[in-house]
Amino acid sequence: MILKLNKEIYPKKAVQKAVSFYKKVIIFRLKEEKGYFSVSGNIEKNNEELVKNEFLNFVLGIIRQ
Amino acid sequence: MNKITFLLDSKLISLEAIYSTCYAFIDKFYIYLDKNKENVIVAFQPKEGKVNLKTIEGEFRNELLSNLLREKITKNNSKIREYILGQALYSSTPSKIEEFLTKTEEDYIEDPLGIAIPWEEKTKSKNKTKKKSKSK
Repeated sequence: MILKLNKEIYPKKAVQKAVSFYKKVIIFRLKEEKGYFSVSGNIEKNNEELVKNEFLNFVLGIIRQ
Repeated sequence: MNKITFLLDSKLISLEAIYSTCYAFIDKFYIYLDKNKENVIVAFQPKEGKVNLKTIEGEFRNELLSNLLREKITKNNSKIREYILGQALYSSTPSKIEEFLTKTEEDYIEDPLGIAIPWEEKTKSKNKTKKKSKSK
């Protein structure tokens, strides 16, 4: 699974915090690319979409806090 | 797939307002945000069941407007709020008059000048000293 988060919208701190929260369940790798944060991890294909969406919402929740 | 994507002008709408609006919807929808040169791209997907996404878009835009208005009001009222808070904090600290009154009350209880001693006691002690001096 690879997730691309726009740097102008998703602050680095929020993404890092979300990745560290998810560490207990899934190990994500965070990379910085041109204008994007790339979050990648090994997830079963059945759950990939669900994890991806939940992670995105989680980051949004952190930003708002 | 039951999904909708729409654009928001980033010059007109602040990111803070978009975040607040998204936060109101994340319990029922999965939201993904992206950006191109001028617009913020919002992608919506319901967590469960089928939903009329056009109405959801409308609700999102309405919520966005109310958040923008809230943001504007908080900006305009920031000075008034600071003033009210300042006044509330200032009034909670004891004023100089109150401090002076408490000090004088403490002095009265201590009675450093001996004002609270009855006249008879005072004169008794004086008479004793006079008698002693006369007998000598």
